[in-house]
Amino acid sequence: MANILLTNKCVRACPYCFAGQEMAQASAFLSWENVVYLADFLLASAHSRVSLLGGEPTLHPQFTDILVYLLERGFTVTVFTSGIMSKTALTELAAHVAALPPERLNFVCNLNNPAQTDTLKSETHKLHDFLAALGPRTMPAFNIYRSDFDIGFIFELVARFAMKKRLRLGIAHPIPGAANEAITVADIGAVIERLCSFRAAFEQSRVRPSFDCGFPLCRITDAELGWLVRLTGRADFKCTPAIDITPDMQVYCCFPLSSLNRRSIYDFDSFNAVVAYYRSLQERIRGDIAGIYAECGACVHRAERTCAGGGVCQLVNRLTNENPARLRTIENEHQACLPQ
Amino acid sequence: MNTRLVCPNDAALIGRLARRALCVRVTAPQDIAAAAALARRHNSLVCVICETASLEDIEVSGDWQGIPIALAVARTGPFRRLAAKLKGLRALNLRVYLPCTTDALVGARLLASVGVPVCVTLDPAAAMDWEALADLMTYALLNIARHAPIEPFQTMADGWRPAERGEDWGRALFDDPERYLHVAASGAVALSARELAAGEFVGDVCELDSPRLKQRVDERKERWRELFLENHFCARCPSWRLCRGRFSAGKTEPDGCAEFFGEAAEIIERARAKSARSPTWQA
Ligand code: SF4
Ligand code: SF4
Repeated sequence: MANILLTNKCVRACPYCFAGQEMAQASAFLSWENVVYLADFLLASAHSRVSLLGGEPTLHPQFTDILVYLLERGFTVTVFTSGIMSKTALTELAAHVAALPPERLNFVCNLNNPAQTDTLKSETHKLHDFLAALGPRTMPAFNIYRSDFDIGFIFELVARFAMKKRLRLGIAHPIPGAANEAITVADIGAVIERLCSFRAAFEQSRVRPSFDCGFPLCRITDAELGWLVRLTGRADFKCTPAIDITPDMQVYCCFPLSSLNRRSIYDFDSFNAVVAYYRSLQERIRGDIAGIYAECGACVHRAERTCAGGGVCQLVNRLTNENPARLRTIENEHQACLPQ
Repeated sequence: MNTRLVCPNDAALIGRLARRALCVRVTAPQDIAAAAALARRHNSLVCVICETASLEDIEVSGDWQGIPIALAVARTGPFRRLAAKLKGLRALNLRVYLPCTTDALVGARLLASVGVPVCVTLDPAAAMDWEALADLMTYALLNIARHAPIEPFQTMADGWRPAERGEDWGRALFDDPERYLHVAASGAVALSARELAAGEFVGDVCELDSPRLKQRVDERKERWRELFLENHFCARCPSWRLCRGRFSAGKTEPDGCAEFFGEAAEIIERARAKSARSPTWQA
C-alpha cells in the first residue's frame, strides 16, 4: 500500500519517533498538483488503497479536502493520526465523513500512555474529543519503545469510545544514525513476554493484537502462539516494504530506511515498479544478513516465509553500526538499478 | 453572417432576434432554466453563460438537464464543499470556466480529474502564472490517467498546424469574432467581451447580416498584420503561430508568454506523438 506523507510536521514529540529525520526538515505540505498526480499514478497502477501519514497528516491545511478528494476518486483511505487536532478541524472532518461506509475510511490512532510518555493534558483532551467523534472508525495503535510498556489504558479507551477491537502493535525500531528510543534485538524477548502479560485484558475486552513488521516468531512460545491464533485467527511475522511518498514526491521504503536509496516518484512508470524496486533492495540486504538472529540463516520458518527474520530496518541498523562500507556498497549497487 | 451572439438575458433584446444562435448571459444560477426557455422560443440556444462568484455556492438544479451551460466562476471553493455537487455537475452538459489565478488553476485540475469539464480563461488583461499554466496544459494533454477535457488546451491542440496558420483557439473562450459577436442590451454589437465592457461597438443587431459588419470582423481577424508592420516583438516571437499576438497589448517585451506558448507547442507535439503511438482502434 502507498503511504502518502501529507506533511512532515507534527505537534507531538514521541521519544521513539521514526519520522524525526523527516520532521527536522523545513515545513513541507503536499501540494494539490501532487495529490492529483499521486491519485492518477496509483489508479493507473490499479492501486486503490492509500494511507495518509505525516508527521501528523491532519495538520495539512487542506487535510479534509484532500481526504474527501481521494474518497471521491474511489480510494479506500486509512489515516494514521495522533488524533490531536483543533476543534474546528475535527468538527469539519467528522461532518464530512459521517455518511461514509466504514470500509471506505478508517483511522489508526497512535496512542501513547500518558503515565509513561510525556503528554500534555490538552493533548489527552483533544484525543478524547477525536475518539468521541470518530472512535468507531478508529483502530488503536501502540509503539513499543520500552520493555516495561503498559497498554492497560488502551483497553479502557477501546471500551469507552467503541473503537475497533484490534490493536496494532509496533516495535519502535532504531533509526540508523538517529537517537530515537527503540527496542534492541536483545530486548525483543522481554517485549513479547511483557505483551503476553496483558493476555487477560486482551481476552476480556476481545481486543485482538496485530503485529506490525519485525516480530520474530521464534521468541514466541507455542503456548503464546496458540493463544494468539485462538484470539486473532492468525499471527503474522512479516516484513513487507511500505512505500512512503514524501510531500516533495520522494519515495523510500519505510521510515527507518528513509535515507536508503531515496528516489523521486517520477523515476517510476508505475507504483508496481516502485514496490519491485524496494522489494529487491530488501532482498539485497537480506542476502547479506538473513535475519536479526544468528539462527535466521538456517531457519525453516524463514525458508517457508512464515517469519521474515525480523525487520529489515533492524538489519540495516546492524550494518550501519558494524559494516557501514558494505551498506554503502549495497546502496550504490541498488542505486544503479534503474526501476523497471 | 452565421455568427453566434453572446447576449444578456433581456426579453426585449431577444425579442428583436429570431433564428439566431444565442449564448445567453445570466448572473444568477436560478435564472438559467428560464433564460434557456426564453432563448429557445425563437432562436437556437448555443448555451447559457452564467457568471457567478463561487462554485461552492451553487445549487445544481435538475431543471438544467438538456441545457448547455458555461458556468463562469471566480473560484471553485474548498473541495469538501464541492464533493456533494459533483454527481449533479457531471450529469449535465456543463463546462466550468475559471480565471487563471493560482488557486483557480488548481481548482480546474481538481474538477477535471473528477470528471467535470473545465476551461481556464487566458485573459491578456490579467496577470498570468505562465508556469502553472504550462503545468496544467501538460496535465490536460499528457496525463497518465483519464480526466475531463481542459480547455482551451484541447481546442489549441485540435487547431494546431505546425507549418501553417492553425485555427483560432479563442473560440473556446467566446473570443473569436468570426464565431462569436457580443451584444449589449441596447442591441449594440462588439467584437469581444472586453470591447463590450469598454463600450467599443462596431454596429447594431439590425446590421448583423450587413457587409459592413462582416468587413469589421474580417479586419479584426487580419489585425495581426499590424504587429508585423510595426515590427512589434510579437512579429519575431517563435511562439507566434500559436498565440498570434494575443498577449501583446500594453507590453514592451514578452513577459513569459513566449516561453509558455513555445512550451505549449511542444506539449501538443508530444501529445500527438503519444496518440500516434497508441491510436484509437477504428472500425
Ligand atoms: S527467521 Fe529468525 S527471527 Fe524468524 S523464527 Fe527464524 S530464527 Fe526466529
Ligand atoms: S507569446 Fe507573447 S511575444 Fe509571442 S506572439 Fe504571443 S504575445 Fe507576442
